Amino acid sequence: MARNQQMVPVRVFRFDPKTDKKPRHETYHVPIAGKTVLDTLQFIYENHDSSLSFRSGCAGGGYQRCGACPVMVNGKPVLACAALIEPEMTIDPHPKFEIIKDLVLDFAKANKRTKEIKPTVQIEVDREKCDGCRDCVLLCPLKVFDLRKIRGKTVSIPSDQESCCGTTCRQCVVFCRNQAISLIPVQSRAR
Amino acid sequence: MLDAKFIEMDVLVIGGGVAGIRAAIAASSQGAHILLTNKGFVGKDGAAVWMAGPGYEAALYPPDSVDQHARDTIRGGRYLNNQNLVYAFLERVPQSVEVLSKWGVRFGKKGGTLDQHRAPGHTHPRGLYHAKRGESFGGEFRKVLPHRLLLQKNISVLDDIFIIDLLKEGGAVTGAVGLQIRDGTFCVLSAKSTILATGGFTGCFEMATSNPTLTGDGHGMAYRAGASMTGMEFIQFLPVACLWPALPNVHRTTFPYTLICELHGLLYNCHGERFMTRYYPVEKEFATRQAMGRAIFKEVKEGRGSPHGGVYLSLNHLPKSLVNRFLEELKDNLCIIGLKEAGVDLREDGIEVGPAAHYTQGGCWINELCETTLPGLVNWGQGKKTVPTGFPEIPSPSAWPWDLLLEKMPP
Repeated sequence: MARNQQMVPVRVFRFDPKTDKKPRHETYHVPIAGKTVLDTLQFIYENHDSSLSFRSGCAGGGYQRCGACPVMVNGKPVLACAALIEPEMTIDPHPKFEIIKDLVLDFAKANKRTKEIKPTVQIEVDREKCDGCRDCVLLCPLKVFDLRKIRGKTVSIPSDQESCCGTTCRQCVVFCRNQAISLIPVQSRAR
Repeated sequence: MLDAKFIEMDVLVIGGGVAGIRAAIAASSQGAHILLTNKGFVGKDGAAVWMAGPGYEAALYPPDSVDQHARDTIRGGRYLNNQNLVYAFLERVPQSVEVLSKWGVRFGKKGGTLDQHRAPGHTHPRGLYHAKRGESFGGEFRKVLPHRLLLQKNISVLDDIFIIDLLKEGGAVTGAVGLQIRDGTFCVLSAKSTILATGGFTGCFEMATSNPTLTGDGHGMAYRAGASMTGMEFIQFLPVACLWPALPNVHRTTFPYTLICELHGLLYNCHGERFMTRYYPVEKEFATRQAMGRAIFKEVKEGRGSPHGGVYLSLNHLPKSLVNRFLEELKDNLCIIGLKEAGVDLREDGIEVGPAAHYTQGGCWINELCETTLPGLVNWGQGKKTVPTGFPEIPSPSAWPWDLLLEKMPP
């Protein structure tokens, strides 16, 4: 750990359903230089508090494709391995799935508590081009897509847009064999 | 049933990557009850998530043949390979490509046949590409295989369990003991046969292009249980992993190797000298991985490296239109986007590249049926590669291990 690195405070969600009644936030001081949120969590685990739990799969490295590390940063869904750390950050678990401990989610169980999040991205599926191949349903780390039958044709529908991490993983766009899916950032649409 | 502290199954598969899933599916087609354990979440971790693009070498069409593929492999391995094993693996590669494309993995096609590219060390073009240029197979496997797993009724999946050690009874492996990460309790898994599909140990290197969760648990377990290990010194290093720019999108990625294979990028040391011509006057930058890695290492050691401990890869000698076309084709690729964010223009600027641990070749000793020296223990996947490639020489040996010996299941 270099001495002259700039340290910034980061608030991290902590909750152990076994011992805690209520979730709480804890503040840690972490180095900022060029680190992703996942590196920061790793730093906290190694240097501050080894009881912090979080999940990572492919752990970044230019891949960002497994979707094991979705978190909410300042109320925005992102993949921890892709988002860069900034001062005054609050890291919360992604609200789509049930919490096992801290930031670890059970991907098999959906969250029952309702929590509003603002969509960061508008997903559009071209129904003419879509042939209902299920690729996007299987690939999306956050299960945003669903297959529905509309006018006798099976097409994919982004039924849960709010959970999408935005333009970070783009797995649906990249893997769609008919180029039917497009992502439009909400800000640019409002302009 | 899966909440119990004692679980009894026919077959225990340790590791939920591609190797583990393929092993479980193959075993389930024999009617056995299978328990698949994984230290993360199946489909969200493992070595295959990191698998790079042109990562599947198969001898499919004449004049290429399995025999020629095996000869290249053995020659690349400096004749250290277990030659029976090489043949046993390679004979099954074309078949496994067929199975995978039937399951929905999209290989790149050209004119009705699969499109293949030649990689260093191979006599014929063998590298299969993803249908989407520049995309990796990792995503395809992540999509197809967990879905296949759900289709099989007799496979139970246990996530978030860290297998600590193998259990033995009278010299034979009879299961394993694991720590359930979610609540910290132990759990005993007993099985008639145990399959190790735990991946390699490249996580012990600071510079590795593979998943940092590959910590060699399986190697440790097998060794403690008394299996004889072989080839542990053979680790394949990818010579040109990206050292700089160190942004999350591009750092430690393997895409510079694609630039060398496809665009024939050139390597320079800090004096601007094309040093590969000095080491390998014939192959130059198309030398095999191990040869190139050694040359780069020598350059850096003798003080001719770049500031971050590597050498420079440049596309400056190419016509701009060619590079432009390449960048246009790959404009959705995360690495290319990452380079743009870092302010690197591939047409003008070089990037710093250097060797990084890529692939573990050693593991338990196995025969052609993947049986180890311990009765009841079968080894599968990256950790099981008992010198089929021998020397870390030929690219993409990873094509084989997870698919092979499908119908040759343990009793």
